Amino acid sequence: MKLKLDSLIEWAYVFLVSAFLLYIGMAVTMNYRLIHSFPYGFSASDAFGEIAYTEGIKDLGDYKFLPYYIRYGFSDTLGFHMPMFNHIAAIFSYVSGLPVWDSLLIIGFLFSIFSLLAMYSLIRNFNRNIALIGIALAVFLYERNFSIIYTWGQWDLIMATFFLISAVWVLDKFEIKYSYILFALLASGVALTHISEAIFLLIFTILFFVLKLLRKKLSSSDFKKLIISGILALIFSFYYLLIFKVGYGAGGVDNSIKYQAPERFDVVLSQFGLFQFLIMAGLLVALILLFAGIESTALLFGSFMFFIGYTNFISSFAPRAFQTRYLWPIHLPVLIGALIYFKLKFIIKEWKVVYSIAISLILAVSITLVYYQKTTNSGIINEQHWGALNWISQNTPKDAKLVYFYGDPYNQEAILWNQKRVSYRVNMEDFVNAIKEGKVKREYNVEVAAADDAELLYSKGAFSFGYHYREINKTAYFGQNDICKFDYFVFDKVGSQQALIGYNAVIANDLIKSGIVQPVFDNGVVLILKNNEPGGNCVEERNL
Amino acid sequence: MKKETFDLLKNELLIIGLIFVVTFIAFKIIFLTENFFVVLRTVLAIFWLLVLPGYFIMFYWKEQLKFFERLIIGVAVGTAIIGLTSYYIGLLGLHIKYHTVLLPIGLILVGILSNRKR
Repeated sequence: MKLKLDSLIEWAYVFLVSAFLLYIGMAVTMNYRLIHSFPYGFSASDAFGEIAYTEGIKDLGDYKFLPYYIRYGFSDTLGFHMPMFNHIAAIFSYVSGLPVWDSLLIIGFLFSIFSLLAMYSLIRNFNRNIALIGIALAVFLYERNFSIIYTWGQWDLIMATFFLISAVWVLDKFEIKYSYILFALLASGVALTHISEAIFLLIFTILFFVLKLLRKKLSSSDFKKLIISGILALIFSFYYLLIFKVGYGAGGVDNSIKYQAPERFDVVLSQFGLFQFLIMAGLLVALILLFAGIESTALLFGSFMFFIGYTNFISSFAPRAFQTRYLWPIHLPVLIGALIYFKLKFIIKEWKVVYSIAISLILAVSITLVYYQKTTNSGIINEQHWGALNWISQNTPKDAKLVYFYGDPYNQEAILWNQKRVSYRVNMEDFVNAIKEGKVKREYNVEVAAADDAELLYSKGAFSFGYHYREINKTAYFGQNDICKFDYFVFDKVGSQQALIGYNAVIANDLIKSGIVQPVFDNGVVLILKNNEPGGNCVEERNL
Repeated sequence: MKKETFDLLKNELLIIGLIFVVTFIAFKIIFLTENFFVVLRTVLAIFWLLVLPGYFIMFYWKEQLKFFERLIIGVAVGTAIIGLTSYYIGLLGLHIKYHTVLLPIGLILVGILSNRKR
C-alpha cells in the first residue's frame, strides 16, 4: 500500500490536532495523570451516577438489574439507563486496570476525538480541504461552556454522537456491499447509548432519503437496504427499547410548543466568539449549495445538527437541543471549512493541501490563544470524602442503612450511590429550621439517596412489568423519620457553612453521649458513627 | 486467504503497529508524570478494545474503502458490536469480566474468517 506525500502530511496533521486536543482536554482535566485515587475532576451528580452504574455492572457481572443500594433497597429493578457506554467503560476498566472513574473520563474524551475523526472522514468524502480547514473549530470543545460535558458526566452523549456521525458516514457510502448491516449496528449503538441521538438519526435518515427521492436518485436497492437495516436495528435493540418504553418512556412525551431559554451553563452561539459569524455565513453557503443541487451529506448533516441545536422550543426536545450544542465544535466544522475554502478558491485557483493545513493551523492557534483558558479543578469531592465512602462500602454490612447530615458534596446525590449502601440525606431546609428553633431533634426530614427513574421498574414476567415506586409506603423513604432507626450516621467536620458544621458536631456529640452510638471512622473531614441499637434511644430531644 | 489479501493485512497491521507506537509516545509526553506501565497498559487497552476488533471487521470492505476510513469507522462498528454483544451475553449470564478477552478475540476471528476466501 503506497501512501502519497499529500496523504501522509494530511494524516500527520490530523494526528497532531488529535494529540493537541487530548492535551488541552483530557490531560488538563485529569491533571496530567491517568490514574487517580478518587474521581478527579467530577463536578456533578450525573458523573457520580455513571460511576455507580458502571461499578454495578462490574459487581453484578451484567446490566439485567441495578444494584439494590441505588434503588431503595430493591434488588430486582431492571437496568433502565442506556447500557452501551457503561458496558464499554466497565470492560475498559478491566482491560486497562484503571479505576472506573478514570475509565469513564478517558472513554468520554477519547470518543470526542473519535467523533471528530468520524466527522472529518464524512467531510473528507465531500472535500478534503474543507475537512482540514474546519477541523480547527474542534478546539472549542474544551472551552467553557462546551467542556462541562466532560466533568458533568455527559459521556454517553459523546459516544452516541460518535455512533450517529459514523452511521451518517455509512449513509454517505450506502452503495457498498452489506452497508445495511453496518448501518443497523451503528443505529442500534446510538439507541442503546443515548436515545435522543437515535431520534436525530431517524429524522436525518428520512430527510436524506427524501432528498434522494426528490433528486430521482433513490433506487429500489437503496429502499430495500433501508428497510432491512431498520428491521435489523430493531432486532438488535429490541430488549432495551422495550425497557425504555415501559421505563423512561412510561410518562409519555410532551411535544407542546414551549420555548425554553438556555441556562447559564448551556452553550449559546455567541460562545464561539467571532467564529459565530463564520458559522452563520458558512450555514448560508451550505444551504445555497444544497439548494443548488450539490450533493453533500456532510453539508446536509452539519446544517441539520445546527438546527437541531435550536429545537429548544419543543418541550421534550429542549434539554436535547442544549446537549447537542455542547458538541457543535464537532458538528459544525464543515460550515466554516466550506465558507473559507470556497471564498479563497476564487483567489487561489491552484489549491494545495498544505494551504488548507496552514489555514487550519492558524485558526486552531488563534482559537487557543484567544478563547482557551486552562482551568484545572479537582472536582466536588476530595480524597477524604471518597475515602469515607470506600470505608463504608468495605466495613459495613450490605443491608446497613445510613443517614447523612450536612456536607458540602452531598447535595450532588449520586455521590452517595458509590458507598454501595442504601443511604438517606437529611433535608437541609429542615436541618436549618432545627438550628433556628435551637433544638436537637430525634426526627428529621430525610430523603433516600437513589435513582428513582422509571419508577423502580421491575419484571413480573414475560412482557409484564411492575413499578415498586407505585407500591411502596413513601413515608419510609421521604419525610419525617426517627434517626435512631439508622445503622450509621455520617457527619462532615469541615465545610463552607460553619453554622451547619457546628450543628453537625452538636448532634454527633449527643448521639455518642447516648451510650449506644460509637465513632467508627474519623479522617478529620468525615466522622462516621455506628448505632449499636437501631430503634433504641440514640438521642434525647433538647433545646440548644 | 489469498496472498494479496494476506500481504495487505500484514502491511496494514504494520501501519497500525506504527500508529500504536506513535500514540503511546504521544500519551507518554502528554501524561508526562504518569507511570510508564500505566500509560502502556492504557494505550494497549485502547487498541485491544477499541481499534483492533473494528479494524478486522472492516477489513472485509478493503476493496471499497480506504485504510483510514476503515480504521476510524471500524472503531465505531467494533465498539457497537462489543457493546451490544456484551449487554446481551451479560443478560444471558456470562460475567462481564470474561467479555474483555472473548469479545475482541471473537471479532478478530470473525474478521479473519470473513476474508478467508478473498
